[in-house]
Amino acid sequence: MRKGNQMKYIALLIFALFGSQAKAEYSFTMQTGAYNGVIGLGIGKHFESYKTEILLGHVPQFMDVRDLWNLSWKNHVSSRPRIIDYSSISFYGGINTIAALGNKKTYIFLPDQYPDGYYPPTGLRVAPYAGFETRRGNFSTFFEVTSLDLYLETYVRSNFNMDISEVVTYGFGVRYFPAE
Amino acid sequence: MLKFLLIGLFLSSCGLPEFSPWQESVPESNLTQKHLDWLKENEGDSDSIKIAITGDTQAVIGHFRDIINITNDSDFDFIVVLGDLTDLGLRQEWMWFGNSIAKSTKPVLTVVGNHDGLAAGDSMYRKMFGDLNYSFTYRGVKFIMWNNNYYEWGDPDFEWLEKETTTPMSVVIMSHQPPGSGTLKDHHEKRWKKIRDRSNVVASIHGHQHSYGYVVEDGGTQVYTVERVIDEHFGMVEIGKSVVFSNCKPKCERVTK
Repeated sequence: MRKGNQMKYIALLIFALFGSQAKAEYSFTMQTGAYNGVIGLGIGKHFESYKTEILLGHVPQFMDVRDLWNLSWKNHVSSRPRIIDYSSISFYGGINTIAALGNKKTYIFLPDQYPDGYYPPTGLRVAPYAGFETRRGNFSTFFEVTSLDLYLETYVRSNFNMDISEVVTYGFGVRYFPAE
Repeated sequence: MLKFLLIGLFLSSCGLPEFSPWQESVPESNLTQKHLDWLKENEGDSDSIKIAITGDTQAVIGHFRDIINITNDSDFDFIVVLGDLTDLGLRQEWMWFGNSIAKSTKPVLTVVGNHDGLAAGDSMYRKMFGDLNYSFTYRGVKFIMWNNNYYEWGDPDFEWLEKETTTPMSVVIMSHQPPGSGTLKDHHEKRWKKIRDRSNVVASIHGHQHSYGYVVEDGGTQVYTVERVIDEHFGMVEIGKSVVFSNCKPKCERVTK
């Protein structure tokens, strides 16, 4: 598949999900950690048990070496919410696709200097995640644990001879569901 | 919900989460010079050198930690890691490697591999370790640690290599890419062969191929390639009146005739 076509199909899929007429709820998200920046802001669409979300994450220069921007596309399935007092809690698991934005040191399509297939994209990673969300009214809070594809691969290929804290990280945030 | 936020704040006291896979801040600095100073302190009067050779720890760092455990309990003078310390040059991979060598009771010296030039790997290696090309002398032998990864860094510095090999001492060249790896141009290979043919260049040691390799060139230089660091595989070179290579799995079998 040609380079440009891959991105077009991904963009069409995201558009289709957000443009779908199926019964769903929209949300606005603010998150920290879990590869989504020091601050990650996004919008999500919640179907019955499936949710899709796009976040723009930022790491400011004073917290690292340079300004970093990520674009994340999260998709997960969640359990049926359990009602506890006036809140509900649900558990979920999914996949986060993360792209580095405007980072000249990474690439999504292999530069011409390399033979075909020499390296995978260095500016595009996949991170499975799991978490739980508690909701009350129009607001929810959530907590997630996640690991990068390469980290999980390393952990397994290293015969688990690594500390789990070296391959797993966490994040948390809040969501706002506008009133219908 | 307040309970939840408090839990989040408590967990954040366990350490900051990872905000981006492409973060670049690494805590260690100048590790090459620190380990060279350490090596010098333990030089002693012996006229022989015993070196553990490893490489390509990318995505298998746990196996490298097994090698560290083996060499900690040994009489090796130091360890060399011949490049591809990381797979994608990501910060967390550099942290894994730094944490691994922090547990070594022997000095560890490195060269960069092609994978280490990805993402911000170049700047992180320089911050953590130092120069990409460097040399040192140990017990009368000169070791030249050379970056010859063409796709990631452009033309290797052959002028520097020629200058460094112009010495009355015996010389051992170490780099990630072996001769004939396919990434260097023909004119690079020819220039490099002329350097290896110098009478004082006794050995050329490499990684990259993920397999053991050994050949004696027509100029007499032994060219050795070490297997990837998995399942306790590493190499050994003993330098005294002669230079002897062995493959260790982990029991060592001599390859030099």
